[in-house]
Amino acid sequence: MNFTSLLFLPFVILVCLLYFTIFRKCQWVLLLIASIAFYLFSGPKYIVFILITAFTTYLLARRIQYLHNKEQKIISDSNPDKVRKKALKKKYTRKRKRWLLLDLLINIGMLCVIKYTDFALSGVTAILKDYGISWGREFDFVLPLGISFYTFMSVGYILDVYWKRYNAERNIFKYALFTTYFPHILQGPIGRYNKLSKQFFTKHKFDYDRVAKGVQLMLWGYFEKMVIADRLAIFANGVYAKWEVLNGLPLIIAIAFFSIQLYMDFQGCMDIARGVSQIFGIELEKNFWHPYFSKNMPEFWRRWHITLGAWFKDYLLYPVSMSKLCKAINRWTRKKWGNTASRTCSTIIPAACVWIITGTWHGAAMCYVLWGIYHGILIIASSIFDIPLQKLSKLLHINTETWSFNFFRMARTFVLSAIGRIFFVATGGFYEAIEIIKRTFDFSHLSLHTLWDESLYEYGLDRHGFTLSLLLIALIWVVSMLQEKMCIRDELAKQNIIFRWGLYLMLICGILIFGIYGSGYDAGSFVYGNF
Amino acid sequence: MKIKLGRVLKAICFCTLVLLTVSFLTKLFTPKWLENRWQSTKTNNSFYELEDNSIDVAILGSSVVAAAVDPYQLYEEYGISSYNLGVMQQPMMGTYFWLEELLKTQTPKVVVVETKTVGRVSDKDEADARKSYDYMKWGKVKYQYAKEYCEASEETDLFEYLFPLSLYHTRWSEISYDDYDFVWGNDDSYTRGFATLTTKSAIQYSGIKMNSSKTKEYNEENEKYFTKIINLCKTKNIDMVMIRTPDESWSTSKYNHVKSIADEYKIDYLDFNTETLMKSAEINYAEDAADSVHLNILGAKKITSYLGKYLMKDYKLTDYRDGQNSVKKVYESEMNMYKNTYEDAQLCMENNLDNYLNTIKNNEKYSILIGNGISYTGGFTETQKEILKKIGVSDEMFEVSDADESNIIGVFDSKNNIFKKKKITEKNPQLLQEGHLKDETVYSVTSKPGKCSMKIGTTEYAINKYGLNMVVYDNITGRVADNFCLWVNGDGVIVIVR
Repeated sequence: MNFTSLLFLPFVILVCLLYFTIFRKCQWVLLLIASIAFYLFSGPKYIVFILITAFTTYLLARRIQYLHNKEQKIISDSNPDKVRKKALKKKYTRKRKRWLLLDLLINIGMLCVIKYTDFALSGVTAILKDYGISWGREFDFVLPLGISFYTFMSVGYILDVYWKRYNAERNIFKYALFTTYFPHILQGPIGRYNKLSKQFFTKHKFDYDRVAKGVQLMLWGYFEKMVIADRLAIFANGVYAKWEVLNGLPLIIAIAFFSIQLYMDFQGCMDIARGVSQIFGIELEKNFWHPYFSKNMPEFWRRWHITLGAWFKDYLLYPVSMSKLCKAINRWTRKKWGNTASRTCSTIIPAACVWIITGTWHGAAMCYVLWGIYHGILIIASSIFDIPLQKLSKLLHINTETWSFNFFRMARTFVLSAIGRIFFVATGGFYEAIEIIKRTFDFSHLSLHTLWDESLYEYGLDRHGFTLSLLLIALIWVVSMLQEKMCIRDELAKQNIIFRWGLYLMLICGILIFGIYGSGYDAGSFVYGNF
Repeated sequence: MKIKLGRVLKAICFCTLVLLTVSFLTKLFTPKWLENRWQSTKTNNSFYELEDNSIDVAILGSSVVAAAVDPYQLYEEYGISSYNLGVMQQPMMGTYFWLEELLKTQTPKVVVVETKTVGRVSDKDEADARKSYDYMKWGKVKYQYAKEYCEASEETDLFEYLFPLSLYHTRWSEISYDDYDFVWGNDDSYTRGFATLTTKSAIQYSGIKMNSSKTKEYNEENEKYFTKIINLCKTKNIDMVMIRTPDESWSTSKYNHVKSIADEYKIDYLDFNTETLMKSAEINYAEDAADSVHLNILGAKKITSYLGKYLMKDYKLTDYRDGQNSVKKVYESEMNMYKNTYEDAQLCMENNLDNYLNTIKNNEKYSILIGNGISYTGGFTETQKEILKKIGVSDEMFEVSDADESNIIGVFDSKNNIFKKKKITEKNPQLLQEGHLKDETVYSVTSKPGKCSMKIGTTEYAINKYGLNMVVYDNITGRVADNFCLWVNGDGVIVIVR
């Protein structure tokens, strides 16, 4: 089962009915049952993986918490001197670290084995082939639903317990709910236990306005996914199926469509997840904030997949930056080449780690690694050249506060991020990606005649479908602009019932008529569900 | 509590509104399956308008029976009250479920089932089954039909049968006037399911030879549902008659197979492919068949006449023409529209231009539209010119010296008398005329050399094969009666090309 499957809506309705009636005194229990049922519907054999993650993380976090408590107790009971205190801390930190490493080994190990074994083996096969040894083996593991997301949430949780940000959960079932909670299991957002637990275990009354807003968000999510993302996907897939023989305009339009498709696909899923959660009275974090309005790449990554970015910042970037090794390298570069080099080095090393892992997290293929490296380079370049570019603008008297300059920066960011998407498409690796980029920007074949000679309608969308796609992109643009200025749902709530109902009906009709579903179309699954 | 109740009511109202909208969209997006003179969808819709228990004879089967039995003729000649539920491409499963549906409101004395499908080996594809399924009213029978069809066919999805919008929403870019017309309820059949075909096959076929006792392999699915029909009729105490209309593709082995079933269940079987019956019904296949399998109105007249006589003789049917009764009232009130439809069909079979023009000249119900198309060169006889002038055409049209270089448009009925002829120049390569016909239907005619456009409503009727395009519109039925081109053949004679 996923959010667009036929069973999902009746499933949510049933859970809602039970949530506010029979289970109103123990709503979290129902959510746990529903989440396990959701997971079982999606593929019963994979439930063992999520249960292992939930169980080991719970136990090991409890163990770490026990060591925290014991250390605290010894210190408070025996009131040791500074040296003894330090020794105690060191001893218990070492012990905790062991349990933490065990958890990371089990859970990240499981993720790596399932997700990356074939990727690694294909690399080994290629190397052996270079030495004339013929060896090849594939395991072809099928990814358990949401493994990347729930593994990261669990790792975040145990690290937080390790760093004493909050106490470990005592009730294994309550912890299991955090790991398996069905709205965020598919594609996130990657939640934090301290924020979600407060909401999970509080009683939520039926609030008409909140439920209505949740339903609105779900509807909009379905519109984004089924009407916009899946429609744009038809064209993008149609073009990339024969990119070898294409140049210029179709590839330019395809990459633009693909970029918007990915955004709408992921954002649509998030809105459905947040909408369902809102009905239950649980606010999931926003994962996107109009990323294509970003003026530079760092801003883009603050607006795109926000919870993943925040996770990497908290659990990878800072720890790597503060690691002994990184500090030693910084000291060495400062000594050898001075402060600027040291600063640059302290930017590059953690960022490189984060972006290679970000790329690999997205998928076990070279294209994702390349995509990560590409974004890492852009982010590092952006940090390094930010100040010199500001100075240059000042020197050339360029007013950077005008709307036209901001628009240029937005367009530039969009183009840069869109080029990065080509690495997603190029499943054949680096050289294929370069070939597609070359063909995309091969303006020698660019002819505006293509715009009206019907040739654009050969890639899966006819004239009507293509025109509709452009209108939908315009609609998203307008809605995003409005969202930047106001909370649309709050504004809607102020309008007359006829206007509101009319709008809801239009949205429902839009999904029913223009949605990509049924046997007439091959409806796409959520792209990020594969990550 | 008051607020809560209000909100519950609001939610219920909204859900109702959504359901109504979905039902409207389903009706709008479901294909209307209106192909030329095949009006299966309308047939099904107008079946539901029948008064309860008002028919004595139900005719069921696929397109071949829809084109072969005329219920109005059965009434006119024998006083039999009947309805033809033949639906094009219908599998036997569809015939069975339509019989079930029919029995919900009607108590026929005789059910006439066409048996072409029993002899059919292959399955019909899903699109064909949907022609039979889509316009059945929602209920237990329809659900059962969907369920059994999906069980029998691996590629089908029950959800798409229960929620047709999921299949048909892809039609959003092709929604036409016909679709809206249906939503607003303009979906009547004026012929009680009879399809008035007007072409002539010119195929020489004198029936099957009884020179073999071999039987044809059969399709189990069709056979199963045919047996269910037989059993259902038995249970309900309804007499059943099997018929097979003249069909060049029929064979002795298929006949033997169907006959064996008829014999096994002791059911009367009229196979008009046997030489005896073909002779008795005076079928001349070249003239009476529309194509290799269907009859035209001439053939249907003969089959209907034979069947009516047979039914009246062997089954105790009421002659509703006698005395005053509700069936008679309904038939008489509907007869005018039927006659108009039938006249239109007869007009379509007329190939003599003089006769044709004479028929439409004196008939006020017709609007006539003309426009030049490819290589218009005139060539009318003096008689034809006189009739055309009486219709409203100006003398100008017959000045053939520059005919090839002029655009011509004419619109004639009691409301319009428009004739335009204009020389083609680079600046004015085409001529346009738009307006309303006698019954206020919108039309537009655009003439230009090589391509003419003649639209009634939003539907294009110009054939653009040769010469002058003509469209004859029936203001009473609100449908185009005929559309054709006038072409001067090698002998210098103008012929009608459809």
